[in-house]
Amino acid sequence: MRFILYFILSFTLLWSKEPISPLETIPYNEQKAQLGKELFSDPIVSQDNTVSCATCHLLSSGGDNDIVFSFGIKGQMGSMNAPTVFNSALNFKQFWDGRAKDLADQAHQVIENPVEMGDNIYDIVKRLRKDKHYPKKFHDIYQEEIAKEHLIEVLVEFERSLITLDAPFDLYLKGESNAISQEAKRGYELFKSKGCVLCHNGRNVGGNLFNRFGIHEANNHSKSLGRYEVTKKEEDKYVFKVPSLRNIELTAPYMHDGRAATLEDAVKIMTEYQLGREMKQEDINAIVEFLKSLTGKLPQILR
Amino acid sequence: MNTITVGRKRLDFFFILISFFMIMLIFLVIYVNKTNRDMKDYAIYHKEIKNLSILDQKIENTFLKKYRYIDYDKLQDINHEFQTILKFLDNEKFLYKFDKNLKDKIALLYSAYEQKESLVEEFKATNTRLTNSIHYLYDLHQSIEELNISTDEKRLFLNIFFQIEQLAMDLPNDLTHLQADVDKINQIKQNNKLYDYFYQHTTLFIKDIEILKNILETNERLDLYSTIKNISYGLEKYSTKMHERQYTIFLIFIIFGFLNLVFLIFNYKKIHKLAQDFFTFKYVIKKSENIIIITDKNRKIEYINKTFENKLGYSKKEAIGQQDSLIASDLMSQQTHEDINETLLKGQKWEGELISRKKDGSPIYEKTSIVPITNKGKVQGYLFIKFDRSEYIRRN
Repeated sequence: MRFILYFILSFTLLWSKEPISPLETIPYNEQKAQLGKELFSDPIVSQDNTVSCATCHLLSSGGDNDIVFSFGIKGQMGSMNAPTVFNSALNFKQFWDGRAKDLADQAHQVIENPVEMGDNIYDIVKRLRKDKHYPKKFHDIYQEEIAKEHLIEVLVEFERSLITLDAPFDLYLKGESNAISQEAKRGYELFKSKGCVLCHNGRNVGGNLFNRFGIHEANNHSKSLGRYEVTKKEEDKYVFKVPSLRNIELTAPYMHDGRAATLEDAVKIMTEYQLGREMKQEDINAIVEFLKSLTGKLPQILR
Repeated sequence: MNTITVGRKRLDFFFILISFFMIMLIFLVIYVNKTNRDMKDYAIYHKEIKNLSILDQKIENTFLKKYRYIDYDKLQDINHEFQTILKFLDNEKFLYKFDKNLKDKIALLYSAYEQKESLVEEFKATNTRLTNSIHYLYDLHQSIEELNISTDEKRLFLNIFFQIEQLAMDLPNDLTHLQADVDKINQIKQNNKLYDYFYQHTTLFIKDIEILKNILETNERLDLYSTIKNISYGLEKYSTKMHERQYTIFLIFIIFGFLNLVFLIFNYKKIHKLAQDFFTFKYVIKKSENIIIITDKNRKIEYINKTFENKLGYSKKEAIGQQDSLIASDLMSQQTHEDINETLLKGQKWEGELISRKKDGSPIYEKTSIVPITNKGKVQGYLFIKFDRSEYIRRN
């Protein structure tokens, strides 16, 4: 009898578990993160001293920029919309095509991308060693001469500190039933029942899955071939990493190529291309309302 | 009795036995230490391999969650753990220790894991599309009564629903029939969004279910699990070998230890006998009416008996450590001294009459024999046996 009870109980628990879970901080080293924060906004990491990480990932406005494509050194334009650096430590892979397995890999690739920082990491290390105050700061942490691993590590530690806690929706999940509006609650129900949640779930509401852009309405492919560029497998054409929807209100424009200027557009495009269904305007509005409740507080380190 | 030969042989054998035993003991301690370390490493390594096997099973479980919500975060954590363990296992410290093919096996493991990881990604993406289509079809099915379509079309819709359901549940189905029905939708869709999406979802569903089937089949052929098992098997072989070697070494140690003990007991018995003989002789010498002196090879006095003390007036304390010239007197000619030295140096026994001097200065007439004590032809010391003839001489 007890066994049956447990069985039923475990089943109900299973069903009652929400597909989205609230954010929690991840452990990071404060001293390293602070140094990483300084380097994040310092153009010393680019070849001609014009571009810093913060050029594309504005820390004051959602961790990304407001333009479709970002500019690297010598005014060169990139080909992808810059994703937010907030909560990026939770993504299962980095970049839209997932070519970096973690943040360290990502930072390295950006620094050496000719269109972005256009630099060689060893040259940056040389510049940092000659700098007035960086050698001391690095030495305080590592007790040795600056190495590329140190540079990458402090940047990664900083990024690990960028978790946006206490979004209204997270508070709602934790039991504060008045944290979000009635409309947002309806939006969440639609988000679950219409299928959005199948891709956008977990702690980061996405960022843990690849899928094809334009499953339906197949004529609206992007120029970028996505993951195909990495794997060269035919089935990976137009496949991208499903992005996180956290702080989505702050990270316009949307999609890998920035084709949607507003959240409403973005939801509309997603329902047509990905879900393959028509959605009533009022439902779209409700989902937008829900998405807005995913905006968290500015991370402690930036306050 | 020209010389005395001392039996040191037995003693040497004893030292050989003891040294041998000590060396064996040291070897055993080192061996036990090393084995202990190896076994610890083995235990850690084996545990991690077991963990991999469990994680692989957890990843494998993903493939069972067809048309269901998958907790991608959990899967991500599992993958992360798997990669961390892989990195730990791929450590030079271990790679040549347990299994000479381990490096190749780990390389195989890496590639098998990468394949599985990408298969899981494909499964996730495909399953998401399929599940979304099911959501869509379910919604459509719920609202079919409200749709403004003809009865024939409604029948066609329901027919397709039923066949899709068969397909999803892996029931026997006729794909060509389903495809024909779906194509009918395509013909009547015109510019109606409803028909268009219905057509897209059903076409995609048929395609994706084929993809899903392929993924599952590829996964069946994937040898991640067998690679893990193979590594585990290699490790177990190593462990068995280690245990066998341990057993052999302990057995050898015990046998040698036992033999050693037997030898030592025999040795002890013989030494015990010798010691008893020695005590008898010592008693005889001690109580002898003759004056007895034992010197080392430089003729420094090592032992004197009671008669010496009585006759010559020196105590043990005074005599031991002195040269035998302690009791020499100037009453003997230089010639006699040289004769003694010469004879003894040749390793021969000297015999004759000597006049020595007591502590109080008075002379003593002795019949003396000096015997070199040799061991392996080398002089170890000398034995002086003197008989006091002073009384006899005085009487005559």
